[in-house]
Amino acid sequence: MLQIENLSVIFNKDTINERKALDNISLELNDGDFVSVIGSNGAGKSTLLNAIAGNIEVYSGSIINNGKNITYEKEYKRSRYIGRLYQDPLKGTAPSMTIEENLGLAYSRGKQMRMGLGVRKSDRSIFKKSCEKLGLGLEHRLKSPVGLLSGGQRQALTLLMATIQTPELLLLDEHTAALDPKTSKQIMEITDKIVKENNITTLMITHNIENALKYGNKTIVMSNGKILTILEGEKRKNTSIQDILDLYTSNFDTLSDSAILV
Amino acid sequence: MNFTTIMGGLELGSIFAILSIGLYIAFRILNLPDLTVDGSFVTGLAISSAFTLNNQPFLGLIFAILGGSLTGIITGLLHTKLNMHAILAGILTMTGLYSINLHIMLDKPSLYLGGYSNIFDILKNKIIINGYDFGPLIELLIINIIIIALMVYFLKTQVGMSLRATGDNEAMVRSSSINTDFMKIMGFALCNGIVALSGCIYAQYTQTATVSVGTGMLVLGLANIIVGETLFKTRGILNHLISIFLGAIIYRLVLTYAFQLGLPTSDIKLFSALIVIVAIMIPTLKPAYIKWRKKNAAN
Ligand SMILES: Nc1ncnc2c1ncn2[C@@H]1O[C@H](COP(=O)(O)OP(=O)(O)O)[C@@H](O)[C@H]1O
Ligand SMILES: [Mg+2]
Repeated sequence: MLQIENLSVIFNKDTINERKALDNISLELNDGDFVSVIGSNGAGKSTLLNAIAGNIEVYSGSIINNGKNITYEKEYKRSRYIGRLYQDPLKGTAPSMTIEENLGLAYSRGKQMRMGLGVRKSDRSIFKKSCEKLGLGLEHRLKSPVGLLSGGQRQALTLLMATIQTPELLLLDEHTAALDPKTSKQIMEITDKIVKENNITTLMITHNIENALKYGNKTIVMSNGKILTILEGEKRKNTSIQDILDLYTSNFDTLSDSAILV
Repeated sequence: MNFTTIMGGLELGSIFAILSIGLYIAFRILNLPDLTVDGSFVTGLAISSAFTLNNQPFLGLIFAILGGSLTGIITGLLHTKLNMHAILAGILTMTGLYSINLHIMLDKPSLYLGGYSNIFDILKNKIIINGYDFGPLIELLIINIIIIALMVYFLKTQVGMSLRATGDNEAMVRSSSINTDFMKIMGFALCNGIVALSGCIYAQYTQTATVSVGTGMLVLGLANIIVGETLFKTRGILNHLISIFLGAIIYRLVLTYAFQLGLPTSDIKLFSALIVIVAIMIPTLKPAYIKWRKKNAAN
């Protein structure tokens, strides 16, 4: 379970550029929750994920993961149990290394470094099976450099790397936004499958309202550093894209953000 | 070129191939320019001579590697912990090393090692073909094979893979709970340890140790790498390392031939620098050249 209590993040405190990116946010995720996060540009969605992952400083409040206060734990320590994906498909993989080597690195994450080969025979069969599940044929290319893959294939591989050791938390920051619509859909399907199969607690930022309502069991709508509403259950089922757009309209000073439209 | 000069070229080429394999770690694996090399080569050479003068040439090899690694660790610490640019960090270590190397050589700028036992004694006069002693060359080839084999294996271990990933996508490595600073320091240590080994062998091969011999070693090593990469466009670590080895040999043979044609030996460094410049120019000039040709064709 992830508990966020009264979390605030302030950038450039005490300067003319001071900006309260997260304003006293509280939120609770149960194990296995798959939560989509929407909101206009600058709403604080990425900041929320960054605070949870530990690569920005929290001003006040606390983040508690499975009963442990991790608010001030170092990023590299949290990365042992938090998997992350970003918009840029190039960000999560090492291009000159092969698919199996990338998976090998991910597979050893958080474990004590050991001597001997980084990809063992027994690992290889595990990697092969995991790749097969993606349905992209990567299992036949385990020894190809990742740099030769397409953006979608690389993002799928990154997803696999983030989840090959089931993380306690998976944080996805618009991880399909840089892909073409068809590939984007494919990666969404794969994400859904992996998250469900492994029951991974997941926070997924998306600009696509349709996806936000379609995938997962909860949807958070953010605006101006605050959580506007959390949709779940029946209420979420009965929410239409139009409802979300209306919610945006009633809460935003500016309606300029065309990116939020499907 | 007569037989003896060719053999000499092969032998020297094999020694400098080791240097280039060391450089490969900094320049190709980590993508970091390491200028420590001009100094650490001499550190290896100096340590080698100190041990050779005490009739311990093999112990010299081991301590040269250790000493060279230490120089790399210093550069690595300056770069990662003090946030210095890798080039500046390397220059500082290299400059400081000049004095230290002199001290190791008993404050003499040049030492003659003839008459002392050295690592080439093992096979000395055992394999004579055509009246030429193949012992040194065979020994050097064996050393190269061992280094390449160890390197290929190491780079496929978990630590080695983390090292490669650090050069490839540092942000990813950092976010996967691996300490990238440690990886970089280790890379510098490995690079300079191997470079120092090359310097150590060079001293025992030439039976002299001169403190000024390090100048231009980095450029020479780079030239070897570039010649190998340009001639054999290969993929994969093993092939890459073999191409660097061959590049070093070919480059040395070309130099040897150029000397025979009358190139003064004093111009060798200019020659190496030009090779590196031309190799770096080609990718930049190629598009311009293609454009120029198209334009001419259109007219
Ligand atoms: N590193 C930073 N320094 C200063 N301001 C930042 C930084 N990161 C984000 N911000 C600001 O915080 C606010 C929230 O940003 P962000 O979380 O990236 O929004 P979102 O992901 O919802 O589009 C924005 O106003 C943004 O300009
Ligand atoms: Mg964002």
